[in-house]
Amino acid sequence: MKRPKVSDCRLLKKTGAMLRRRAYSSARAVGDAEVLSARSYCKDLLRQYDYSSHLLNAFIPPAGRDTHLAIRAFNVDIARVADSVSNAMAGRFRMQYWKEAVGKTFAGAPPSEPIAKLLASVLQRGHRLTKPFFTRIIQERVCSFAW
Amino acid sequence: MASLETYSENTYSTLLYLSLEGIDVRSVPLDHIASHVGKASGIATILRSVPYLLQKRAVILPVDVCAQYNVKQEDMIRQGSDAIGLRDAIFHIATTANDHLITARTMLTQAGSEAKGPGFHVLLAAVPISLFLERLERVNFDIFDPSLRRHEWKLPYRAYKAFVMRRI
Repeated sequence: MKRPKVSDCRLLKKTGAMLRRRAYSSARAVGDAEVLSARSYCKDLLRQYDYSSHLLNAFIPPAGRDTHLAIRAFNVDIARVADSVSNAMAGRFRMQYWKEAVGKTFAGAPPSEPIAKLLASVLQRGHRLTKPFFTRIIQERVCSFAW
Repeated sequence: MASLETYSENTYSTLLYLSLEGIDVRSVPLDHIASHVGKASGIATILRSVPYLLQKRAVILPVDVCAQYNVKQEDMIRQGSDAIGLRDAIFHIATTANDHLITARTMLTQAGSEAKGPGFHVLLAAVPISLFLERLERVNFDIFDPSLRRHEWKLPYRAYKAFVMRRI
């Protein structure tokens, strides 16, 4: 007979979820006005640089639209680092900034960057996103463009 | 080519996994389909960026594919679409992307109702990729053709059709 794992324990999962909600409520919450302006910023960014994602956002279920917007805006920003900086050092700093921004966002204290704020609001609402996915994207782009 | 696929998986497929998490859908078959759609997306995006990067004298095409078709970097920069072997190399890479899309479509038909539920919406990212690859085929894999840079007016209709029929 298999021994039940500690991680299977429902009580432990509920406690974890409750502690995460408490952590977000005590950290700097993203206000409604900030979310509106962050959403508008991300939509404009996508409209300009990733029109397909901007259009397809309408097809995503309403609950997932902000996540999709934030993720695609994050992708546009990361992908444009090579085009928008003048030297390799600035590019590295930008990537490092994003690594730290993602860490702070998941810790509940997003920097004053609209994409990070939108992401923080999504996490505040209880959606569980995997932070290693973000770090994997950043890491892959850093390695592939050999700065 | 393998490292290009890994790059696409780690960048574009990961975006799809995150989108799926955003709608609280956790499903292994959908993740597999998203992996193939992501790989096709990454490869197609790289193909799209070839003319822009060549202006900056950077070549982003896989080295093994360039060697297979005897494509030289200097030829690509100086001669553009007339470079020897370039169209064959682009064809090879575009076929790989298309193979991933075909695999994703096959897996979607086999996956049944789980894949056609709320998670399907995220997979619509395959539609613009499919449209780009069709355009590339129509211009005979000339990556420098100006029609590839024009706005894709078919996207709203094709996306809606894919959404209604649950087919990418």
